[in-house]
Amino acid sequence: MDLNKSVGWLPHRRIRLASAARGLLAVAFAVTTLLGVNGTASAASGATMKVSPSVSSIAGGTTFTVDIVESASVGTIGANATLTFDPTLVQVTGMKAGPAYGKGLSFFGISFDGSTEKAGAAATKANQTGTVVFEASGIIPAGDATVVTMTMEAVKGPGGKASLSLRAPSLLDQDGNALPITGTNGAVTVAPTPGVTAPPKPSGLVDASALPDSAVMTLIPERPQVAVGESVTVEVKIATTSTQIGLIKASLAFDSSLLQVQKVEAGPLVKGATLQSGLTTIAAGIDLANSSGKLNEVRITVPSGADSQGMDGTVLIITLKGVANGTSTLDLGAGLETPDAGSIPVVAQPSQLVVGSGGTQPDAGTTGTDSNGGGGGGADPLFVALAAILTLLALGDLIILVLPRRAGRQRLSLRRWPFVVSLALGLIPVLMFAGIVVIVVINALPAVGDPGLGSLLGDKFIYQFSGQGTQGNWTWGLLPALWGTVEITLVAVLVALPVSLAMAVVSTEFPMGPVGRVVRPLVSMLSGIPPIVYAVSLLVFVHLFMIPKFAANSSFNALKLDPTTIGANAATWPPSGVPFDPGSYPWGTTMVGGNSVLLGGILVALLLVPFMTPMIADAIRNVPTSAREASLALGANRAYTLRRAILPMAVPGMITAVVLGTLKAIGDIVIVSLAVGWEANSIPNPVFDVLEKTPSLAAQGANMITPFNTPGGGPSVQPAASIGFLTALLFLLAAAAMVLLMNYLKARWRRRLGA
Amino acid sequence: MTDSVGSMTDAVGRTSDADGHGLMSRIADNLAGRERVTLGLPLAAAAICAAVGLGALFFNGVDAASLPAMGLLGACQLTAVATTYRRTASLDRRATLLLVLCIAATLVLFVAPEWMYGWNINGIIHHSVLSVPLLLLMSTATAAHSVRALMGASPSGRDLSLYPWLILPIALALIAYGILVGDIVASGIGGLNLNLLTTVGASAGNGYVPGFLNNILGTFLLMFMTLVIAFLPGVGAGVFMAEYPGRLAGLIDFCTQMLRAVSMFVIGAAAFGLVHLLSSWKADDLLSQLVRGSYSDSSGQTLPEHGSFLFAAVILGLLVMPVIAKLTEEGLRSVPREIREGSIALGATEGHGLRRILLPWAAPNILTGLVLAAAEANGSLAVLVFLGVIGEHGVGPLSGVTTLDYSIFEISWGPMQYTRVMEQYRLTAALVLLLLTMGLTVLAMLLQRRFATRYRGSLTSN
Repeated sequence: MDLNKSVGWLPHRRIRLASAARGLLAVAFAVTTLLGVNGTASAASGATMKVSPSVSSIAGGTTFTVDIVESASVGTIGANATLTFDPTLVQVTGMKAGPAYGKGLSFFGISFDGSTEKAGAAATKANQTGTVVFEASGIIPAGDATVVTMTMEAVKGPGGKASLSLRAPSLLDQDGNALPITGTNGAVTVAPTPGVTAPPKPSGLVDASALPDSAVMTLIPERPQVAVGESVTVEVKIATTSTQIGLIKASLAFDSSLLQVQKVEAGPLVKGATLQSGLTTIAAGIDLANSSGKLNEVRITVPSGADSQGMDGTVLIITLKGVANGTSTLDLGAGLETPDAGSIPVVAQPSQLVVGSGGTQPDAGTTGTDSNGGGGGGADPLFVALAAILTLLALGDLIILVLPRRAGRQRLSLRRWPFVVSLALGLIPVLMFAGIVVIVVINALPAVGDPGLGSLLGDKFIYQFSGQGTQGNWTWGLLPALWGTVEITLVAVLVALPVSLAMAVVSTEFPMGPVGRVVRPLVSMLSGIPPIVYAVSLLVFVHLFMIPKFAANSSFNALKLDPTTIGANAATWPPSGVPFDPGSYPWGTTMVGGNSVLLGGILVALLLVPFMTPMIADAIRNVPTSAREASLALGANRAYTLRRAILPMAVPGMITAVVLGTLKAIGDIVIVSLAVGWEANSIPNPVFDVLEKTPSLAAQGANMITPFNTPGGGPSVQPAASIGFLTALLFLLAAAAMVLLMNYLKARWRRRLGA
Repeated sequence: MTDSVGSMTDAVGRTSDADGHGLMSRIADNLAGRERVTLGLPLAAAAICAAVGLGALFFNGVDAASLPAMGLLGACQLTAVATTYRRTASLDRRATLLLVLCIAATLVLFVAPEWMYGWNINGIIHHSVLSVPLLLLMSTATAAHSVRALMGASPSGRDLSLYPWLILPIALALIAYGILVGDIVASGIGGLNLNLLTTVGASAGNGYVPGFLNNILGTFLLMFMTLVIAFLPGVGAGVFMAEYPGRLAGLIDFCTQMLRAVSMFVIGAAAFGLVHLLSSWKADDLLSQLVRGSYSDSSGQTLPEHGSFLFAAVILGLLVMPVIAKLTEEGLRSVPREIREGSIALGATEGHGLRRILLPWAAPNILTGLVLAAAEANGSLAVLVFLGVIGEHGVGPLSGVTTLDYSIFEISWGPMQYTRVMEQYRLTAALVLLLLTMGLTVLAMLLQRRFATRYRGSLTSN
């Protein structure tokens, strides 16, 4: 290879390549910048939604139209809002989607296809409650567009000023992000009609007599808005003329990331009725509701002999607590049964609740990268993708710039395809690694601004994982988790290193008869076991060792284990029953995350042993035979040869094994999360230190990026997600430092051996 | 000085070993009958101590015997020290040290609980937490030294005295793995039936159907796709690092090392970040489908998943590439100089040499790399934590990624209702996963052996 000199035409080609790359770079840069500017502009722009009645004052008995008009500087794909009005002054007689939205409209969740029947139903509902909840979807260009046109009729009566107010308006741009929006209310003055004094209908209550032989159930929040951390009661009211009601069923769907159920109790109308959530108790139902966002059917058995003249009043009071900003719809599911289990038709009406500042906050679907509102304009996916490509191109350009230095030694020709092909393939991992760094950095950056780096150095961590923190008192100190990382890693590596060293020695130098023959294949079989398998068999170690050894008296507190739960587990483990009754399982998910650093570290060590052993064994095997033979020939015994000749020469390989093992322990999510937990709240009490539940940064960070108990790993809340990414970035930097240190140590050790 | 004397007799020791009457005859040669007994006493006591220690590891009741056992060990060690002193008229330093340690350990075992009661943190650490490591360590140390003493400090004696130190950690590790595998087999086998393995699980609504068909298929598909994606870049990077050393190779080396070092947390987080950059894109958008995957619901509407098999395979490919690259590089470096030079001398071009000589030689290493990569891909749940779905909507390159270990994760952590219903199938899934990975490993080991003889054998024999 060294025989050949460089070929003359080569530099030209290289320059061509380089300039082409730079050209691409420039184009990409221009496009990215343009898009970036565009993106910023679009996000900074505001939007309005306006209620505009066709008249400002009107006589009773006449009809008029009300347009709800959106206006945005970018295209939109969806609009929704709630319009409230006073049904004693005006009544809805018809509703129609604006021309741009066509049929993509629904009222109260009923898809509105223009048919009179459905429009009638929607209008009836609107007039009962004085609210119209509408959602419209369609691809709307920038500018003004009518969302809904409603035909209304002024009621003959004493008259007055009917305000038409817009609650929680929201517009989605074409990427699905909520636009900052201001709503403008409208008003109509209804002139009094002489001689008519219609009795005013109570707003928000149902006129049951309008619906003979059926029932209406409504959901009335105490107030439309609730602050984060504050509680609000929501009453489920029923209005029916039916005389025989035996069972009332009500379910409530809500956004569990915004609201949590605190209490469910029977209303005054059915005082003394027994309540059940599905087939289980109310308490279990509330637990389930807070994790799934749906309060399962609460069954209210109406005591016999209750009001026989129909029912009208509150049957259920649900206390909700706001946990995060946003607007949550409250969907009521309802069912009524006669005492002999016949069903009674019932109409259920949804409602909604604004938590905290509400609509301006983008809710579900927000990614970890969105910087909420204000100047930034969020991360346009295209922009970020192009930025990544740009970075990759820049890297490619850099590499091409490096190439000419090698001109003296390298020659390129068609016959040297291996060089080109292997370079092209070899650059794939390089570019992808660069991409990973870029993505992690982009996602981590918001954390520098929001909680600030200073607050990350605190020794308290409070977040909503276990419902103990509300947004008001979230605290982001990462020191406890850092301490947890140090402890888990130390335990894991200190346990795993002697074991892997012994196994490696036995499988190479000291076969010890059958032991060596068994150990080698055994280790390679064990190395295939995925981490989750270690994690799920956690319980057996808990029962065999942790409880018997540490469970006396106070250590139960130290372990944060509940003896009754564990005892129940031990008695029924392993689960055997085929017919399964959810109510009979005592633990649910409560076992998860209730254990100690010691156990977690040992389980991680079990993962590390099959990982490190082959590396150490390879290092020992790769020691030149000459070293071994020389030592033996000079009369050293095998133990001495191992200690003085072989192991020192295997040190570079052992350094690799230890460093990679350490990084594996630091970065482990699965075992640590299951065996220790994912939330290091405070630095542990020194007496019980390794028995405490202090998970590592990686487990905590991963759960901040994607909450584990959300199906499909749903999006997390800011700033938790960006702090999670910052953790990843820290880990990346630590890994880089350790790899560089490892290479340095290896080189130094080799030099020492060579000298 | 004693070392050199010892090594002189090494050769003798070895030949007598080979003759088959090594150990006992050497001991007989070295020691008189009474000394054989007194020097052998610590060994026997160490065996008792080890048995008590292992017993106390599992049964707290056995712990009552720990103090007598440690005392016995001390007494035996004392006789051994005394015997040696009578024989050589000088104290054996190591034996004396061991004796002191034995006495100290006995005292600690005797006093420790009281000490703790005195400090009023009664029961913080159970007695056996203290006695088990003390017993095991002391018995190992004593056994090692006793073998040395019995063998008269000969080289083979020194070799043998290393054995207890090797056996202790290996035995403990094997016990731990035994418990682990035993638990999974014993607990998981109850729920195992063909129906479970051939049903597609579901979590929709209230109908939780246990079934791992899609998860098993998904495991295989993901592994296969990952290997296909990672194979060429991995081998390419390996070839470049081995054949064209320099600054560029250094860069590639660093990046592959980093990909291996950052492990799954960073890579998974980055994958999650990328998916969520696309989260606002429509489900039927091509890029969105490639990265996020999609499925059609009953009404024919296309809905997005969280991450597709294809995307997950690319991400896992990143984890796996370094392994393949490293082993390819090692394989190419191990090509004997003669073969390399021979091919050049016979006029092979670089490409020809690589294709016909070097890569076949490295084939067993590359295969090892693939096997390790498959294992790595199989165990890389941490990435799927960020991307996976339960898998009721089918398995295919563009459907949501799901594997057996993700299903275990979901059972452990998923929404509470799902978790409760599926709890009893968790260990069954773990058992299936265990069987699957072990089966694959065995298969891979057999394949690897075959490859090694096939390629290297033919090249070296020609």
